[in-house]
Amino acid sequence: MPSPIPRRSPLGEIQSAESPPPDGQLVERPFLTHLNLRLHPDDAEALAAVHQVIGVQLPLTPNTITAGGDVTAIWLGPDEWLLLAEHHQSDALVADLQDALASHFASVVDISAGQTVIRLRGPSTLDVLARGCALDLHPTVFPPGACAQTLLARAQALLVAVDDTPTFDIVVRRSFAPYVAAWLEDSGRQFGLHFPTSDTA
Amino acid sequence: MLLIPCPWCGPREDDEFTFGGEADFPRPAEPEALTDEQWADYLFMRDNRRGRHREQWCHTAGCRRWFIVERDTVTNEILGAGTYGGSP
Amino acid sequence: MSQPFRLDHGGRVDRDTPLQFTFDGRPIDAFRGDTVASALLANGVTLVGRSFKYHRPRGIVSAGAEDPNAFVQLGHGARTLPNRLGTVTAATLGLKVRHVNAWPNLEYDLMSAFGLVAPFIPAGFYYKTLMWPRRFWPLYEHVLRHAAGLGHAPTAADPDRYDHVHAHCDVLVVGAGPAGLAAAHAAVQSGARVLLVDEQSEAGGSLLSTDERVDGLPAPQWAATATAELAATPGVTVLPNTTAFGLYESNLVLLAERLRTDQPDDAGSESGARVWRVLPRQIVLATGAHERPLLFANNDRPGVMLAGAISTYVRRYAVAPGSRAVLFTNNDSAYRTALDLTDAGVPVAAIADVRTDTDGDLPSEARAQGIPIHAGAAVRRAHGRGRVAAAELCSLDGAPLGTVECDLLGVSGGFAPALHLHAQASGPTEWDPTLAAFAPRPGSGIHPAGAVAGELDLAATLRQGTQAGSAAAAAVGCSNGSEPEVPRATESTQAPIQPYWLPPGDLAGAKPQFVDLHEDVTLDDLRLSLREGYESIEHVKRYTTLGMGPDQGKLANPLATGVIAQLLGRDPASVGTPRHRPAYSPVSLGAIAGRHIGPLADPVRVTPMQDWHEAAGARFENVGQWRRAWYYPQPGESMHEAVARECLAVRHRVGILDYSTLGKIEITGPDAGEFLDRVYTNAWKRLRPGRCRYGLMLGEDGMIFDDGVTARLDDQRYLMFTSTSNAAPVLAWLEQWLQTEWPDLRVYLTSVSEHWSNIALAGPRSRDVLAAAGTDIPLAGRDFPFMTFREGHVAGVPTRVFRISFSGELSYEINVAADRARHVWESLVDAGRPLGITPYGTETMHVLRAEKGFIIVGQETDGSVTPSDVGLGRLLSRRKDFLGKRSLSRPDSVRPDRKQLVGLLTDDPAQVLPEGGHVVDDPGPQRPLPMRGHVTSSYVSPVLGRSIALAMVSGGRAALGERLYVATLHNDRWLPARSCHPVFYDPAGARQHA
Repeated sequence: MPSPIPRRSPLGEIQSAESPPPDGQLVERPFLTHLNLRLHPDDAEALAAVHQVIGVQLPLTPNTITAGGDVTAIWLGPDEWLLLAEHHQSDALVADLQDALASHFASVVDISAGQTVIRLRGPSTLDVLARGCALDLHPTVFPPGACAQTLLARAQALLVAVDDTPTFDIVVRRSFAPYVAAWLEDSGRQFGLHFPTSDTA
Repeated sequence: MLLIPCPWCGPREDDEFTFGGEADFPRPAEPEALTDEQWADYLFMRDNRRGRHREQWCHTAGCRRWFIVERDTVTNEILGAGTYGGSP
Repeated sequence: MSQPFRLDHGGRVDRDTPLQFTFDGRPIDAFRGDTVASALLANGVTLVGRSFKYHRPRGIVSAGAEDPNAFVQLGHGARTLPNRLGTVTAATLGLKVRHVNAWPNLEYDLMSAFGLVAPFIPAGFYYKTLMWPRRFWPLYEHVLRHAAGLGHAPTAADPDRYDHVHAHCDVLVVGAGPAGLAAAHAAVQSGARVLLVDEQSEAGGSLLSTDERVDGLPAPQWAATATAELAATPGVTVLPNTTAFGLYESNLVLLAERLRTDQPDDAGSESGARVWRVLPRQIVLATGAHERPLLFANNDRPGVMLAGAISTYVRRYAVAPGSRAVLFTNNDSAYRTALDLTDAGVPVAAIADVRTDTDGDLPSEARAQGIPIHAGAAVRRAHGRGRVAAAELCSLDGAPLGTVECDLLGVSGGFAPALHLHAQASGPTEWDPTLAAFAPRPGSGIHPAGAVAGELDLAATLRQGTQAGSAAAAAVGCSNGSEPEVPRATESTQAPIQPYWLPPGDLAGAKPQFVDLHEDVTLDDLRLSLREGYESIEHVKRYTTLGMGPDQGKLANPLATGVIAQLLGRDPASVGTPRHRPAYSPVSLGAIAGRHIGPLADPVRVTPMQDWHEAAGARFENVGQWRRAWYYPQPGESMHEAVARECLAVRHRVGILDYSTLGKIEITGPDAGEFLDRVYTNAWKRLRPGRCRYGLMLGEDGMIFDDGVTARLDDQRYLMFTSTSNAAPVLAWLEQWLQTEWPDLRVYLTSVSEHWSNIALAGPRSRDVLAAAGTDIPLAGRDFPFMTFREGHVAGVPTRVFRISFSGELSYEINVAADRARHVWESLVDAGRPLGITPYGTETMHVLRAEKGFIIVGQETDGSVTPSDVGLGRLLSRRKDFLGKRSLSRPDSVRPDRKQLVGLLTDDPAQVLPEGGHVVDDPGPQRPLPMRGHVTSSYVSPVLGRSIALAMVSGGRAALGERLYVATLHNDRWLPARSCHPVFYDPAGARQHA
């Protein structure tokens, strides 16, 4: 039973039916469905079963993503993925996956409330990230479709290169989100970046 | 700063990793069958080799996989890395 | 007259942009393009500081980062920067520059008056003289610090912002002189991503102070064109004003970029400095060389300068650093300086050359200009007090050759490669006899080129730079298939240098001869060090402080190597050089901290209820990176009063605690139960779904590592709670066993710590609050007993409610997805208001659990405590193995005198024992006192109306009721107490089962 109680994002967004899509060079993408998926990469049947449910193949190449429909599958480890979904009820997606994987050694865990996505896009994206990320994010090395779990400043973060605008999604744990947001604003200040001023507060 | 080659994620800076001590010290199958000395040997004694050294690392801030690194303890040169199963 | 020493024409300064700054309050006229040092020289200011130990007057020696004297204080107020080099600081409008290290002022220095009494403080003076009596140290320190001040730190917070950036490139070129520019150009031609850095404001290095031509253009013009071309090429970054100050393992290079250039009071965003952390795939080292000084008496007088620096001031800055010069050299390069001076109209009164053969191209040219050249000659002594007035010449066998008046004495002892970066990372170096200096050997991705590789000729340097650049690019797979074009310059030949370390014979007796100008280390100091047996270069350094100044001995160390070698009669190669360490030149602390200051110093982790806690007036404590509500004082309440109120509310009514920070791990798979059996001391496979159990996790050494409750969610799923601070270590530990030892177990671990918030309701009315908030979970005791959990809704939100207790009261811990936790929290608070619900923080939580004798891992335990030590031996399964089990039967683990958990009750119930206090049997006269243990937790217990404490006491459990004493923190009093069973309240546990 879906709860009628509105959700609150780690950066203070409050879910509502008429929430406009986030716009700007530095925004939170709140209330996505985040599922942690574990299964053995040699289990071809399980891979196929997941493909059936989410509409994309799980990426088997380290540090890459696959995207299709409204599910993005992100490689986290040789037997671990993050599924990000935009318009799903997390409960339903979990149930579908668990059903599909019932006869396999696999795990599907809803962690939607435990993390959030911060989207950074525009010409200063790489300059801002370079202030706290030790990885080489140059498009020749880290093209759209690449991802990496790493440190951003002093927090763990999952970086996803979305497109060549460039656009990056930064997945952070809930309790670290205010720190990461403050850090991004501080680093982005020299480029005129800031979160949209909230009118929900 | 040591650049550590995670077998899955590639070379990353050392602050993404946790050191897990010397490798190749498997847990005895039947601890109760061991003498105190043998158990203490497993618990406390390590070779701490000068030169080539096999050790465990975990890519804590990355893929969370434990893996083995071979490192020269004199030069800090990393000679290779291997997984505990599977290959990228 | 303004700028009396400025030449009428020439130079790279912009005469159309005059500017003014101040030195010790005195206005100094300068042009854009000047450094502080060049402007001071243009204005005839020769005295820039006093020396470190003797407070001798000192002047500008060099035109770069190697200067031992030109340290000044920049700016004022909160933005002042101590110990900046005037030789690399751009002169900017309104800049306030002050001398350092003179007291009360530069012209009249009190400390130098000491020189009249005790002419020289020998090396080792500090060790020998100031050791005793010890109680005088504060006095010594006070006086020494005053005497040895190196500028002063700002007293207010730094308003500047400092930036940190990570960067990557195929080829990093350090130094934008001829070698660096040629290398960068070649690497770029090959298609490499290139980063070119130079510590000066203008690229070009030695090209800026030569009249040679490159590709037919005047050298400075070629440098400017080449730099502009590079900067305009995609994939190339050119950073002026940037010093590569450290090279570390994995070829990590740290750069400091000076941002504050034109406007000293600019409040722009990133205004202080930017530290770049670069991981290049290859490095071209084009850092040039430092000219070596030469020894003679009073070689520290203002007006004694490196010959190459004189050329730089003349050619690049159009400044004549004197009006009549003498040069002293052992190589050809000083002759170029002589020609530069003559060109600029400054007469050169004499050149003393230690070599007997002075027939090379440059000496011949100088001779043709009519400059008197003394072959086989040396300078014996400089005359003059505040400034050089004359040079006393002699032949190498000591015969006087007369005294020549001059106010400028240029010296050149040859060139030592600036191999500091290379050597910092233990790059291989070798003694190059043709240079009489150490030079780097290429290796591990590092390509030296130009003067740092010992090449002093321009044409050859350009060739070498080009080769280094294409080799570096080729090493990372970049090549455009064709040989890069080498910029052309005229080849020249130079006669070899003749090493000259010690003045021969009794010349060496003339005093004082300074080896290290910054640290005031003299030739006599080196002699003394060797005489006393400190022969290794590292020992000489520590004994004399050679090279230990902020200039890092850039001039002193290469000289000292040769001097020590000669004094010991050894090969300089075997003497070596002191270890090179970062930073190459001073980097401010602000730059090192970057933006990791204030609220960004470390992540502050907060729960979804943080805003509520703040609004409720909570005080917070840091638990690792978490910020947790500590207690909630009402207006006028002390902490003690607030905690007492919160404790009693839980015991008598109901309290609510944000316990979201607990670690939570979902454990899934057919072998999950087997896995738990192996990592916990007790048995898990038979735990029924819907039930919870407390577990202890041990290290293989048998010591408690973590504890917590785990619930069985269904047949193949468990949910484990870990302590807040151990959430990450426990997960890593479990993964290590799964991945490395038990890959056969079919178990997956997923952290759900952040997904689930956890709200604890505790107290006899907690059931009523839960009911009032609205739930579809049956709450009656028989439906929902202790140590079980139920799934259902609370306040309309899906939850998992656990009946577990850390307070000993009837208690529910409500797990709710974090994005609706705030709603559930507020609903519970609203529903509980009529029942007197009281929010409580971590302090009350600690008191309540201590009343129940529940341990906290890390407080009662410290990595040396077994389950039996804290009275939890009943949790050790006999039927199965578990991690750490074998260690529990080691002889040390079963000693009867192990420290064991006991309670302590003070004789005076109002007395609260200090946590950490030592526990003894008898504070009698016996010394040392045998310790029995220590206090681990100590509180006032409001419900008991007295103090309570937990302690780890040797053999304590067998002797409950014994008399013990606890030391106060300062060991000045002993507090009497009796030991007791560690459960102070409701020992039968009836309340939590209610």
